[in-house]
Amino acid sequence: MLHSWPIHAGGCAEGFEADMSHSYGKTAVKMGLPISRAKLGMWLFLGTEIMFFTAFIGTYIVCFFGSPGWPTDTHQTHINIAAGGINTFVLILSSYFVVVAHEAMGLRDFAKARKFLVYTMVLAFVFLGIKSYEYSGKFTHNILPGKIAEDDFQAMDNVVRQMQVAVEGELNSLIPGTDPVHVKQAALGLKVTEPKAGEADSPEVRTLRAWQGWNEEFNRLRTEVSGNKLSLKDVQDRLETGFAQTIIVDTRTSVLKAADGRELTHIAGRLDNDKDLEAFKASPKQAFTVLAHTGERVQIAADNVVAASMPAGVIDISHKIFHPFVMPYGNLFASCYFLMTAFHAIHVLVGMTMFAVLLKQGSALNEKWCDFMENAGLYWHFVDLVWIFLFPLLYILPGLMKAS
Amino acid sequence: MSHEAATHDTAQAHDAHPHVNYFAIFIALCVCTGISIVLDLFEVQSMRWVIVFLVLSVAVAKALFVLTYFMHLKFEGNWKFIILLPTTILAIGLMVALTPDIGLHYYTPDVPQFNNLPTTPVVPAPEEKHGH
Repeated sequence: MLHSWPIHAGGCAEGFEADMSHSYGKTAVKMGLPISRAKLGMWLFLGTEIMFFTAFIGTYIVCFFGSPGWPTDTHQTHINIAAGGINTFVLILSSYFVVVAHEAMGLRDFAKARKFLVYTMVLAFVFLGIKSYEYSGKFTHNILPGKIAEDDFQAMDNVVRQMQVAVEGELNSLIPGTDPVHVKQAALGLKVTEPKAGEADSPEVRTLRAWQGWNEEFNRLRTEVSGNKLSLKDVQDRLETGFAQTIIVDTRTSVLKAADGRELTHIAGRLDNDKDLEAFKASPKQAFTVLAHTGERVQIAADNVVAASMPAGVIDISHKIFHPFVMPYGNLFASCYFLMTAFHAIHVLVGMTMFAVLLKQGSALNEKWCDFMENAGLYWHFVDLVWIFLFPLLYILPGLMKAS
Repeated sequence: MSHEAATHDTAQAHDAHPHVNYFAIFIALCVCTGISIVLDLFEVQSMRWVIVFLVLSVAVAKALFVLTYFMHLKFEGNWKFIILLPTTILAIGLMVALTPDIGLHYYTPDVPQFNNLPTTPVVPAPEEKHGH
């Protein structure tokens, strides 16, 4: 008599053995393994999962140790060891809770099993919460594949591009609509050069003039970077102090001739000394000396000043520009980091779904769910297992190798 | 296999639910995590590779704890080897296969990242408003 193998065999997990002992002596042919099909399926699946994650983890290890200059400064990569450590603890604790829940199922204490499944779910949410906190730090600091500068020029180019986005963004908020940038720019220029009566120094015109100042700074930066006239240090200095100290002055008469012979009534530069800076802040309509961006030193009489302001004091775009840094292999690192941690997080979500299915049964949770519980547990332990390797590789090793 | 372990296995065959002190395993895993973090604090240049080896060994120990007790492999039949050995061999094989191509350098690396190493020391960001 052929014996058909049951999927659920009364007890939990090892109930199968009970069934086997019952059938010994009756069955001439016995094929397969002494475990449930569901469990065998889960283990085969986990076997493929091992290879799946090895592809990522193995690639990361080989890249890490095989690339001179691989990013190891955790301040630069924004790897937070404390967050990773807490998450490790959270996953280990959740794994413990799962195994307790599974054991409770075996002892038919389903209320206890449900309780520990709830604890596990809470910890899974905590894990994802900490992970999203870490991710938000990466997004905020532009640690993203394809966005990291790997040499000085790329870092400077990044600043130029970010400044363009910031300046055009400000223009769009000042002059709303769908017109192209140059049309909006001309409209804005008209409002500044031909303001309504009595509004030459109104807050609105001051804002528009400040935008012109930023636009000029942007054009100057772009020209100088593409002309290879600046080092990364120069760009960093300009971001930190240069932009903040730039002033824009509108004069009634031409104060300077440009290189192409145009007479300028508008000048951008820096004040000659700190004393002037204090006086300028108190009242811009006074005589002062400007070191123009074009290189000349220009004396401006108080009567000539229509309006003058520091663009940085009116429109703040500094927070929209990431501090430039160079991270060789940074993009490869970011790709590895996000591949590994995001796929791990997806697995966390799948595990949570399995627990949700169990919890959805509520008080109807019974021994029929033992196999499912065991498989969910196995899956969850595997998720924990992956993190056990990700934690040292992503969080601990870079710190150790940093000193080299 | 030791006599004690063999006896244990026999006992398991009669017992549907292996009695493992899961809490002790949990504590062991916490201790291992603590060791990893403490090892990270060592900044002994000459011992660097030893510490790397130790950190990875701790990870392997933790993995074995989880596999053996939480995933009950200690109490499973020999089928576990049939499923896990091939994947383990292939997983290691993948890394071995990648190493000569990416990880070993017979010549001076000729890649943009190496040729354009930054000339300017990276100035730390003036203010950290956000966490990591």
